[in-house]
Amino acid sequence: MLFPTTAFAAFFTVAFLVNWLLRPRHDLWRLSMVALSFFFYGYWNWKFTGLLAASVIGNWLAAHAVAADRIEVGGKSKLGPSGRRALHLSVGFNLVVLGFFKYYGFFATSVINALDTIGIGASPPLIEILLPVGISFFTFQAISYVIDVSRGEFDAPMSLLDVAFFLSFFPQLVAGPIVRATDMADQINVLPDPRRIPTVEALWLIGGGLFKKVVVSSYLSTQIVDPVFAVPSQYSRWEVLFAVYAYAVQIFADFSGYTDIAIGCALLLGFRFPQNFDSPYRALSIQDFWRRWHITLSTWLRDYLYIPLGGNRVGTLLTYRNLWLTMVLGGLWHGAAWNFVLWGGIHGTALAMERLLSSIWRPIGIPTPLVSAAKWLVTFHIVCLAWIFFRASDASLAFEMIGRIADGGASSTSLVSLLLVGVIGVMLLSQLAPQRIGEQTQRRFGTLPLYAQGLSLALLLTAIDVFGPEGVAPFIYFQF
Amino acid sequence: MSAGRTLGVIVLALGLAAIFNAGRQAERASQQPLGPDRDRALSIWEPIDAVASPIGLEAPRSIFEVVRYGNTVTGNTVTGSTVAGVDADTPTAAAPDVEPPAEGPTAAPTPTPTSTPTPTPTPAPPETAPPTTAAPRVPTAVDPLRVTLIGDSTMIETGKALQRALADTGIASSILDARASSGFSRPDFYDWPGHLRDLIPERNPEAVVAMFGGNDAQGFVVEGSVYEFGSPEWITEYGNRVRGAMDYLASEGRTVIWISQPTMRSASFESKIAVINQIYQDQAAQVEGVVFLDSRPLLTPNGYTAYGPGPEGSEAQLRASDGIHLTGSGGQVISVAVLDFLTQRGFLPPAP
Repeated sequence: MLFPTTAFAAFFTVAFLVNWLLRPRHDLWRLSMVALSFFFYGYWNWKFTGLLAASVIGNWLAAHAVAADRIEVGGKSKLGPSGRRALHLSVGFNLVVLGFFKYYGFFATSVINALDTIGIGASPPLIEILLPVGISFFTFQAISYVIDVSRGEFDAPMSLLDVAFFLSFFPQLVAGPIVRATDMADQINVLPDPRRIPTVEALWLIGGGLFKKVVVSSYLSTQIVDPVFAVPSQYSRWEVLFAVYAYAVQIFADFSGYTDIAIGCALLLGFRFPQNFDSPYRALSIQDFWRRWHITLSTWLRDYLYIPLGGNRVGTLLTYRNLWLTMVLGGLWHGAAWNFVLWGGIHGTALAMERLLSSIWRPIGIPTPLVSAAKWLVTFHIVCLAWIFFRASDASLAFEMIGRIADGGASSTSLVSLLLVGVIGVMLLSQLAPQRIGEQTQRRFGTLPLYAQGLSLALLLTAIDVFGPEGVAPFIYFQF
Repeated sequence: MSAGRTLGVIVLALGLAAIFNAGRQAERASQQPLGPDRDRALSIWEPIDAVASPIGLEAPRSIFEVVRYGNTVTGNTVTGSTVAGVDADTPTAAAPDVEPPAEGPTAAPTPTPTSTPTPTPTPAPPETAPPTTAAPRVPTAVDPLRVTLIGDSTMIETGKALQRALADTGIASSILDARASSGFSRPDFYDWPGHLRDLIPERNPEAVVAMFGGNDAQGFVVEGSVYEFGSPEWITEYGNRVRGAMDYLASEGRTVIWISQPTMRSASFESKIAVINQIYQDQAAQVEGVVFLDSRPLLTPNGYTAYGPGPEGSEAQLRASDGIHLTGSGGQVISVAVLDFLTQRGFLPPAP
C-alpha cells in the first residue's frame, strides 16, 4: 500500500479511529495496531507477513535469552557466555535472513560464473527470490533492539506485543526512519493526551511530503533523470550534468518526502519519530552531510558498526579504515551491486580525506564566506559524484556519465528547460530557508476554522493529483 | 488539536478532495479492467461525479488543469504523459514497476481521448507523409539511423538496453516511448493508435521496435458489447487493432520489429499471453516490412526460468521478481537479437 493512494487514505482514517478509540485499553489497542500493521504489510504480499512474524518472535526470544544472562560488573552491564551466544546467534540469524533475501541471487550467479571461468561446472541452486519490502529496515531495527538489551539499555526486555508493535508499526515499516526500540518502548507505554495532537505539524509534513514525492520527484525523474541515465551518450555534457543535479534533488525529494509522510502519520497516532533529514544539501563537509542525510541510518551505522570497530579511538590509520569500511558496508546495505560499493567507497574515502586534510591544513587568511562557499561547492559535487554510481544501472554506465560530462559532446540543452533549472534551484535554496517560515505557516493554518483547514488540504491534494504523473512510482527506498 | 477535530479535518479534506476529483476518479475507474473491481469503483465515483459536476464542484480541479495544460482541456480528458503503475490484469500482487517510463527528449504531455472505442481504430496515414526510406542506407554519425522504440512496461528494460547498444554504434539514434499499463486492448486508457499518428511523423523513424501485450489479456467494450478475452470476437477485434498499427508503422517503407512477450511465470497468465503472441505472429506474417521477433527462445527456451545466460553468456537474472518483466540483463539479451537483425538487414554495418 503506497502512501500517495486512495487505499492508504482510507486505511489511515480507519487506523486513526482505532488508535484513539482503543488507546485507553492498552492490550486491545496494541493488538489492534499490530493487526492493522500486518494488514498494511500483507497488502503487498501476504506471504511476507510470516517473515515479519518470525522476526518478531525470534528477536523477542533472543532478547529474553540475552537479558537472562546479563550481569552487573562494577556498575557496567556485562553478558555471560549464554547471553553472548544468544546475542551472536540473533545478530547472525538476522543478517543471514537479510543476506539470503537481498544477496543470494548476486552470490549464486557470481559463484557460477567464477567457477565457470576455471572450468568447474558445479553450481549453487538458482532460486527466484522475491525481496520482502522493508526487510532491510525492520531487520536493522531488530538487531539494534537485541544489542540494546545486551548493553543494558532496558531494565527488562520488551513484551512480545511491544516487540511486535515496534517492528511492525506501519508508518515506518517499509522505508524507515530506522527507529530505536529505546525511543519506541516509552511511547508505546505512555498514554498521550488525545486533546493535544500536533495535527498542524503532522499535516504540514504529510502535505509537503506528498508534494515532494508526487510532483517534484516524478517531474525530475521523467523530465531528465530517466532518459539521461538510460543512454547518456545521446545527450550533451550539460544535459548529463543537470541530470546528475536533478537526481540529487529527486532522491532527496523522494526519500525525505516519504520520511515526512511517515513522521506525520506517526505524529497523528501519538508517536514522534526521530528526524531523518536536516537540509542535507547545505552541508559544508561530507561529515556534515552524513549528520543531515538519512540520519537514522548513519547513526545506526555509527552506533552498531563504526564504534564497535573501534571508531576513532584506535589510531589514525585504523580510524580511516573504520570510516571506509562503515561507508562501504552502508553502501552494500542498499543492495548487492558494485555501484553501491563504489558509492559507499566514495563517501568513505571523502570522509577519510576530509579528516586528514583538516588535521594538516586550516584556511587562515581567506575570508570565511569564501571558504564556506568553496566547502559547499566541493561537498555538493562529491555527493553528486557518488549519486551517479548510486543511480546508474551499473558501474560502466556511471563512468560513461562522468566521461560524458568531462569530454563534452554535443552542445544541445533541450532537456535543460528553465522550469527544470528553477525546480532544482528552488529545491536547493529551500534548504537554506529559515525554519520559522514553516512554523509561521503552520501557526496561521492552526488558527483557521475547521472547514477552511479541510478545504485547504483538499485543494492541496487536488493540485498534487493534477501536477503529479498519472500513477505514482513506488518510493526509491522501497527497493532497499 | 484534539483527536476529534483532527478526524474532522481529515474526513473533510478527503471528502472535499473526493468531490473535486470525482470526474477524474470516475474516468480512472472506467479504465480499469472489466470486472467487479471496476464495477465497484464506478458505483462509487459515478454518482459523486453526477452530483458534483453539474453544480461546478469540480471547478478547483479544472482550474489546476488549465494552469498545467493550458485552457483546452477539461477534467475528464486529461491524463499525464507518463504512466507508471501496476500493469492491468497481471496475476501478481508484487510491487508495480519501479522505473517510470523513459521518454525521448521531446516528449510532451499527451491528452488521451475517452471516446467509446469503435472496431478497428486503424490509424489514418499521416497528413504529411514522411520521406520514403524503403531501402537501407548507410547511416553516419551526422545522419544516424533513426529508431523508435515503443511499447508497454515490458519494453522499458529492452528499450533501455537497445538505446545504449544503438548509441554505442555511433551511427544510430533512438527514442524510447514506453507506457506502463498500456496496450491495444484499452484505447480509452491510452490511445496508442492516436499517439502513433503524432509520434511517427514527428520522429520519422527508419525502423520501429515494438513490444506490447503485457496488459492486453483483458476484455473490452466495443459499441456497448463486451468482448471477453480470448473469445472469437475478441481475437478478431484485437487482431484488427494490431494489424492497423502494423500497417501504419510499416507504411512508407519502414521496418518494424515486433517483439513477442516472454514466457510468463504464472501458467494461467502465460496461457493468455500465448493467445496474444500468436495474434502478433499471425498479423506480422501478413504485413510486409513487419518482422515477428520471438523472445521466448532467447529468454526461456525450456519454459519459464528467472535465470539464464546473459548477453555475454554468463549466468544472470533475466526476469524481474514479478515473473513478468525483464531485468536489465534480460533486456540486453533481446537487444542483442534486435541489433543482429538490423545488421543482417543492412541498416547497420557488421561490428568490427
